[in-house]
Amino acid sequence: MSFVIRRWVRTNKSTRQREYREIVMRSRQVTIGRAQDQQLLITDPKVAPQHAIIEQRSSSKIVIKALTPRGFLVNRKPRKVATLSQGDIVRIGAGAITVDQLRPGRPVILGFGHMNEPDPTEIKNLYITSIRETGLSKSFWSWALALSIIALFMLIPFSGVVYSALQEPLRSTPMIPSDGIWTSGPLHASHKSIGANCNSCHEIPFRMVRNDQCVACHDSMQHHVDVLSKDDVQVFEVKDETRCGSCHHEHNEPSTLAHQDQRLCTDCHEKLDGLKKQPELLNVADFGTNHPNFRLSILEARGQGAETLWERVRIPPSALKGTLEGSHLNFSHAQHLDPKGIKAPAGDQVLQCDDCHRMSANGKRMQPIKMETQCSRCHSLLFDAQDGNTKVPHGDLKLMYKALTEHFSRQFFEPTGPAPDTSVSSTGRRRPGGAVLMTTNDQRRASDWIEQKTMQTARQLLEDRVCVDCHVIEKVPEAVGIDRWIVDPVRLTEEWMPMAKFDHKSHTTSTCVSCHKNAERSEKSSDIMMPGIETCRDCHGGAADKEKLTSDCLMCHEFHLPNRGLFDANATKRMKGVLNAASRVNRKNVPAQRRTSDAAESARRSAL
Amino acid sequence: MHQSFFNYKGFRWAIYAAILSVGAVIAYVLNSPRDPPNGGTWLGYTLGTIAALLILYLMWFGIRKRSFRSNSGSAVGWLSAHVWLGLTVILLATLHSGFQFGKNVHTVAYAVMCLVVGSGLWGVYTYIRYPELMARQRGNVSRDTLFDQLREFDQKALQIASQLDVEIHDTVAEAIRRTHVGGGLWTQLRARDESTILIPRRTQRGPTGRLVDNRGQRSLIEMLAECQAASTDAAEAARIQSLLEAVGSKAELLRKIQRDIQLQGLLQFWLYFHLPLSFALLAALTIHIVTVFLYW
Repeated sequence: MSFVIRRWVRTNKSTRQREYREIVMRSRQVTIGRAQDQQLLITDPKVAPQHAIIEQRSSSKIVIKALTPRGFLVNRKPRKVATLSQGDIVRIGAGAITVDQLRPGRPVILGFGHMNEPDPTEIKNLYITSIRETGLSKSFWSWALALSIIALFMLIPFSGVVYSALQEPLRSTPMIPSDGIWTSGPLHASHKSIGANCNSCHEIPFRMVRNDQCVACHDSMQHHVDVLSKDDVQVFEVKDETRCGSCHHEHNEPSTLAHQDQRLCTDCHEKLDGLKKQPELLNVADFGTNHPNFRLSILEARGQGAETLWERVRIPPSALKGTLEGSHLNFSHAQHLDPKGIKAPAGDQVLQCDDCHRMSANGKRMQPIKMETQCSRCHSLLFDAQDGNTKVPHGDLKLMYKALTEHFSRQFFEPTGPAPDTSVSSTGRRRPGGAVLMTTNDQRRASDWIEQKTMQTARQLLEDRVCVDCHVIEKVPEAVGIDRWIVDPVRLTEEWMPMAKFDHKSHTTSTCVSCHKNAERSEKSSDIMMPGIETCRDCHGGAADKEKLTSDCLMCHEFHLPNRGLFDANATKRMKGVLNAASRVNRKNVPAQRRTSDAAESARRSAL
Repeated sequence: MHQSFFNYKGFRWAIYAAILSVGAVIAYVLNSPRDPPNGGTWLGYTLGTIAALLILYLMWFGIRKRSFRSNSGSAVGWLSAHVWLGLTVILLATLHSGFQFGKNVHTVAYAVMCLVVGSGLWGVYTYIRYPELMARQRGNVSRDTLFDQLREFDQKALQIASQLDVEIHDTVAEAIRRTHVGGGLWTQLRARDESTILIPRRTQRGPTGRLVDNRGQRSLIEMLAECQAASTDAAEAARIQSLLEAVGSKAELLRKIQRDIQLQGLLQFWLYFHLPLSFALLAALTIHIVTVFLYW
């Protein structure tokens, strides 16, 4: 199948004959239009780029079909589709197509030419010479982009907020945007278990996260100030409304659970003068530059003997110099740390601090010093140098008395060893296999002898050599027996700074005496060897210090303090309600938690 | 020196923008927020508000540009402000973010903003470079004049061709009809010559009409050169020679027009990114502000 296109070129001026050029097109169809790739190209702006097509249906049937609604003229009649026959003339704009030959067995010959030269001003319209003409539209793309963003990042995620049934499918389907795309940063690792449910915390739209959401899990969190006390109101007017989120800011990078910034503390603590009811609270602005010296809490004994009560007393720095620790212990650090050594079971030994002072399991404080674990390694309670088994028990005079009595009773009746100064009559002597026969007289004499030996040894131990080495022993002349002596109970202060967190483990690179400076020279156990703030400041600087370890408030102190009451505002209000009702009737009706905390609190308050 | 949007009134807007930028940087450095720097501190809110208002002001330029009767300063002044303050927005928004980025709508808004400013910078580059290049390569004549010249060359070629063999005449006329200027977006931007010519070609099954690439009128010139070489008539060879010269000049002119269309396209093309992206930014910015407070 082929067409022969006779392109009209010119009219010969001399012969007045039209001159053509014939081109064979081997195809079933001929394309007509204004576009470049059309086989019959009509350079006329009125013609569509792809205007029409001529198809050869059989050797004698060709059909022309319009590809635009404008159509064409066939023999001057407008058509959109037409079957052509020989001699037909088709007009499309400036172009003319004639069917010159359409006979079976012969190639179809189509004549083609432009009827008139196109207007040069119109020719320019044939060309697309600007971006606007290419159909690219700024407004279309503006709308398209803006609406896609609105749909993707607002409408789809928001549909889950409006229709809660959609929320879960949206959140669980990958590649579908859910409200998680609104997050301003990752959650802290410890909050990741909350998962993708934003509404666990963000309950009400356009409202900041409330404490209720936090205490749903953190229900035992304690407040910083006493929630029931009115003393704190001057500073913490809004203590009931204090938002957890004002210190615990989530979705931030680097992710921290609590702000370390000390201004969160110093905002209030640098101007505590206003707290008239709590004058013990001092102003503090920065550890390095403006922090009061440490006020040690030491134990003071009240009462005597078994009735001794220990009370924690907070010592102001000004009074520290003359203060002694009244632990009722005689102990000389200087003697024990003598570089020449001290007498020990295996000869003279040079002691180190950690021979006695061992860190507690958590590495924070030191283990308490105990006779049984520390002292007894050297200090034996032997009372008979001849007999290595003669030890008195520690800690109870009555037990000691009993042990001594038993010892001397045994000695008295010992069959083997002669008792040089016993003068029991020979008739009363026990014999192997024989019955004991003692006269009443002998019995009294034995009893006297045992009592005398016991009291003699006890007096030696308590007044001359063993007990008295370490203990403060008082005499009660009017009393009888062992009650003539009272050993004052010993209690060492273990918590010198209860409001500060200190960790010995993180300070092991320093020697003990670099902080407990006078330990090697101290001769009395009442000497206080706790370091002052200057010692800490050797290494620790303020929050903005450039040379030392920057130390903010939270390095040593905590915000949520024990026994202050629950942080949960509602719980506080509930408790207040209960308290008010209770105070009208009887103080005893205060809730149990509050009462127990009261006892601890009064102790703490007196210590502060 | 010629006063352009670049140095309008002695770099007035550049100085304002610099003051704003330096002020923002100093505030950022001096400010020590209690949390890690982020959009929610007071400085974060301040920088964010300034940046958002600036974005609205910068978008207002699109409206101001069209109102020729506006009394609110000269167009070049507005453009100067648009360019310099537009650059500042990137800095303000970056400081506003506190350098926190993530897979979220806020970073999307930031990225779109960067694209808007980037496409704007592309526009600045085109306005600095292309108008001068266009005028120079066009030889300071208008494009209409170039088209008129093109027509003159075509008519001259046709006139010579009419005295030659009918096949040469047809080929020349066909080449003129199928000469292509401009075209689709990429054709314009790449200044590609899509001129073709439909001439008989020999195939194994006999001759058939084929569309042949006529880029730079090369096919036509080759064909004419062959005819000239084959010609035995000196007068005819001379005519073909002058025809060749006309076609050669046309090809050169054609290149010039295509390059002009290309440069004009490049001069406009960036705006097809800048404007839609600006509206995308407006949408993303609105979502950013709403969602930050939606889940406060």
